[in-house]
Amino acid sequence: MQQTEVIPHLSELICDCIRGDRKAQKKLYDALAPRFYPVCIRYIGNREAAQDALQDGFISLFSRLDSYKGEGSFDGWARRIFINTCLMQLRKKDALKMSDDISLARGLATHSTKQIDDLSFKELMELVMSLPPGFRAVFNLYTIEGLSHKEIAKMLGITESTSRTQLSRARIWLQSRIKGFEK
Amino acid sequence: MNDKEDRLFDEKLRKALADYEETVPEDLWEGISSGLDRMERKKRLAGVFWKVAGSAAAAAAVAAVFVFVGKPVSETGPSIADSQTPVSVAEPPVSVVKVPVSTAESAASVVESPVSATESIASVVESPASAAESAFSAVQSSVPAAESHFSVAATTGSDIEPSASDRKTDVTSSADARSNDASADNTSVEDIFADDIFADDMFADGSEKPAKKVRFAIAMAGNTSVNTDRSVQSIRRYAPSIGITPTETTLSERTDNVNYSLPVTVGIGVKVFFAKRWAVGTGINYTLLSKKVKVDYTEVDEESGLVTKDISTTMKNDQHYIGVPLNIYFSIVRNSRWDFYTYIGGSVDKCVANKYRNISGSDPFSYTRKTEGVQPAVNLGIGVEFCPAKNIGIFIDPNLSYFFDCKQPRSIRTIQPLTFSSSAGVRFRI
Repeated sequence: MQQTEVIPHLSELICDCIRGDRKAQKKLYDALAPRFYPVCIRYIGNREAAQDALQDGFISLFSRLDSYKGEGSFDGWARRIFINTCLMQLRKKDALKMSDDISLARGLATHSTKQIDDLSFKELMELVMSLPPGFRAVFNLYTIEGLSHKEIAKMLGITESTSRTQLSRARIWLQSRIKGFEK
Repeated sequence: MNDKEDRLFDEKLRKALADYEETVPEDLWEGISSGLDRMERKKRLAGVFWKVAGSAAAAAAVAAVFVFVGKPVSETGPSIADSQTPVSVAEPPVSVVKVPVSTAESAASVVESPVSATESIASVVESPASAAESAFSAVQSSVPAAESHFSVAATTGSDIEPSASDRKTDVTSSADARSNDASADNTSVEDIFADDIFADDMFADGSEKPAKKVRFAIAMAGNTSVNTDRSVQSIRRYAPSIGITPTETTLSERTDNVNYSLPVTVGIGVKVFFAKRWAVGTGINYTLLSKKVKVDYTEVDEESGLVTKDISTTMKNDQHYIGVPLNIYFSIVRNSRWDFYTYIGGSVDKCVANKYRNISGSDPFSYTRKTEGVQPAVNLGIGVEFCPAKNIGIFIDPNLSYFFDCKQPRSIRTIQPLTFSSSAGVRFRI
């Protein structure tokens, strides 16, 4: 779903925001924040730190708004800003180290696709938040954002094979947790 | 897990999470709002800073221009003349000469005088090498040697009959020298000036002659080079050691009252950033070095060998240089519009034209002098570049440069090798 469909008069609103109209900025914030707050939570892993990322992301968005040329969806453009802000915060905390600890996930590779339907959004969010940071970043970028392993490798400064391994381990981790919810 | 099941698992999670929305805490907007306020203040301050910095840089550049234009560098008095001797000797047609043309008597004296002069020089050259070399080359650091040279000249010159008083070819010794051979070997430079053979022409008004030891030496060499075949042969014999080649038309710069104009350099270049703040730049520069200088100019008709012009006048000398700089830049402050940087590097300049134009009197003749070699330089500077477009910058680079002489024509760069200058131009960023 593209944000242009849900924000009326988006181009006028963007122009007002570029001019520094605080009311227009608040309006855009109100439209975008509920959507991108969960994005930040998914990447950062806890709500408090995600609020900081969301705040920094909005400041960055408003200061770069004049570079949005109207090419492509505004939603996609804004999403990249928030994802980059989250990844920067994780890098600052040195939290993007790729985990090679698979011991917890070993032996739990059972399919749990059907069980996903039984979980609420909140429970799924909790599951993703519980992923180790390295697993979480690759999982979000690949599964939710739809990036390729090549793009992820470039973005995170890792190899493509590391990206694949991390994703595979993230899946095993999640499935083990879903099983836990079931029990 | 196989790929199909992986895809299905991912798809279910993506659908469940992609459009998930969550209520944002109320106070978050306040933080964003105050953050935006801080950013705006920062932007305003940055705008003020750039305006002030830009104005300061422009003011500094304008001030530099006015300082140098307002006070052109001048050479006056004997101190500069001394320091310039090697340059003058190196420049080929060295003369303050007149060729005998009138009476048989004067012609005879002309024939006589160069012989004596030549002999005197020959005797100097054949004497210990150090004295000869110092007399013709680094004279400023070897006044005693020069004096001994002049002494010999004066002594041998005593055999010469004086010719008409208005002839510079009177390379005569003074009456004193003629009458006092014993003391001639001890004749000082000042003594020689007292009987300067050029006194009539150069100081016709009877004004006090400055102690131009060096120019005197040059005049002797020039004098011997043009008067007779024998003198020419003699000079040619010794020319390799002193760098003098006899030519027909001659121009000799005086070293007093030279006014140097501000060097002006414009260029076009490329600057390649190889790191965030580091760049290497090169290009091509054009530099104009100008001066107003008093010269003694003797023009000889090539076919007839007759002197067609023989004057002392003031000429404007324009030296046109094409140079290639190579600098390493470090950006102190840089954004998309402005770049304040410092740099270090060097350049090699080639003089492509060295022209003299008469600016006094009604005779607008000109003279072109050949130049050889190149002028290397090292420099250190700061600069500011304004980028009206993404890859184009208009720059002004005030810098401190040191120019190596390398037998270049006399200019502000050779008399004052350490120079503050300013370049301006257009640079393409890659």
